[in-house]
Amino acid sequence: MKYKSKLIKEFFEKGKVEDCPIIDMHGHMGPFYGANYSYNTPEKMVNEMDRVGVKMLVFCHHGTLMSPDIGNAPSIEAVRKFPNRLRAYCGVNPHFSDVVKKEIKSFKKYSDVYVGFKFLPPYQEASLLHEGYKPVLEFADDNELLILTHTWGYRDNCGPKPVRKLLEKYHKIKLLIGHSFHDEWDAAIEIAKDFKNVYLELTAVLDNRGVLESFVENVGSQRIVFGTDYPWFDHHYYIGSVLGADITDEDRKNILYRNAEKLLKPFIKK
Amino acid sequence: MKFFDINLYIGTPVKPLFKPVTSAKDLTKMLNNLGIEKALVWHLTQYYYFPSEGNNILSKEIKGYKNLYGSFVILPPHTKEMDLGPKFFKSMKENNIKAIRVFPTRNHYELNKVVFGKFFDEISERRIPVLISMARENHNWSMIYGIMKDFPKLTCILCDMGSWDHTRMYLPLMETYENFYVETSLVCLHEGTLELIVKTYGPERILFGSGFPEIYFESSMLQIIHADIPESFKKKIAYENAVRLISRAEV
Repeated sequence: MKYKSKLIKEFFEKGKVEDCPIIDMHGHMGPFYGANYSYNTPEKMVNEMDRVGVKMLVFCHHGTLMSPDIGNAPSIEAVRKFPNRLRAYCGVNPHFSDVVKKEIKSFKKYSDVYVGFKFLPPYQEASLLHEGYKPVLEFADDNELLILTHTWGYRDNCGPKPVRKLLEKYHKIKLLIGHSFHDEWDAAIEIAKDFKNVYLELTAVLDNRGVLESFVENVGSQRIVFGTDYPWFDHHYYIGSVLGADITDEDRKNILYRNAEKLLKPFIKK
Repeated sequence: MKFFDINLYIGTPVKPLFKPVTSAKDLTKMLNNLGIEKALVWHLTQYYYFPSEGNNILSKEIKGYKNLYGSFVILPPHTKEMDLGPKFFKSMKENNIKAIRVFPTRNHYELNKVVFGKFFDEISERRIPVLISMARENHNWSMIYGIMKDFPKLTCILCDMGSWDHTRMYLPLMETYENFYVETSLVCLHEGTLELIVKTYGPERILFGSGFPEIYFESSMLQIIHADIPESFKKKIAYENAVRLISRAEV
């Protein structure tokens, strides 16, 4: 194999690269109704992260997002078990305003756990513009927190239109556009150009050759973050995609860890 | 590690998102740079335009490239648009065609015994692989279960498995049919799936495929090279299984 760069050579030869650790900004945990995931417990996940060179995973537990009966306890427990390897997004369901209020009230109590919030509107049969998200957005904006939201192209409930509306109002949140409006790639570029507090997230993007090159060319590699939906998708597969893309090693490092490191800095005490 | 890519195409899509590869010459250059020794290719004109015309274009394109094998796309014989008799196999032999691809949704027919009874009996005997793209068939699992039930000896390779995990769908087929294979371009996307399949069914029925040009070559390659399975298994998945399958096909 003729390697196009030093970083590509190192990843192919060793599987992980010491001076390019991976930070995964879009993860989950636990089993899932619609698919089988081999590594879904905190122990198995961290073990696999060690094997493939993932330094940190920021996640929200499937149970939190899919079932109002479960809440954020599994995420909190997992982070406290592996404080150097895991951080969580506080999962909220906009249909339950009392629960949302409680989550906001107790957010600071879990400053060792949370970096922000996770929104998953279509799975919770809601729109991003649901009133129930409003107190979360206000709190996140006041405290300059991260919000990772699921998005998809051409969707009324989680597409570019509702996201643009939120961004026009909230300027201090750091909004991670999960899946980067999948298929509506030009809209992702436009929104990232218009709002500097937006980061394009790569889960489900990287099995579409050519998109990453377009993002880097039009938005720049400083506002793209690596994510895998782990334990859904394989880290090496997605790293391979970043290596295969026609971009520079500096771009690759920005995407694989540097941008995430900057975003997480306020939340991780040395 | 040597690679044999069984799932990639040449040609330009109607709406290109990526940089296509339009010639066997350019493709071979890319494969050489990546250390991919052989490939089983198809041509987009077989899909976007018309199977017979596309088959001819593919044959001409790969002529003289010993590292490239082709796949012919078929249509039901009843309309007389395509002759699936002895001439078809002769053409396969003359043009280094080692497999068949079907696009029933695109080409508007049913993939079953009523439509392809005699022909599929013959290709089952000849052990000619049939590749089916699950993404292009909208994950029609009933069709796959039906065709395997009708032709239990068929050498069937499922490709482009999809972004969602489908192990609950295809593992029972691996369990039941000894000539049922899966290709890696999207199987490798799923964390721990390669390891799960190998642990349960061994490495023999997994074949490296990149899904190029829609997917990066490097995605599955890096995953296979560093998968948590024995080195000898990786070699089978990356190269040896495909060589075995192509060699045994009696065209």
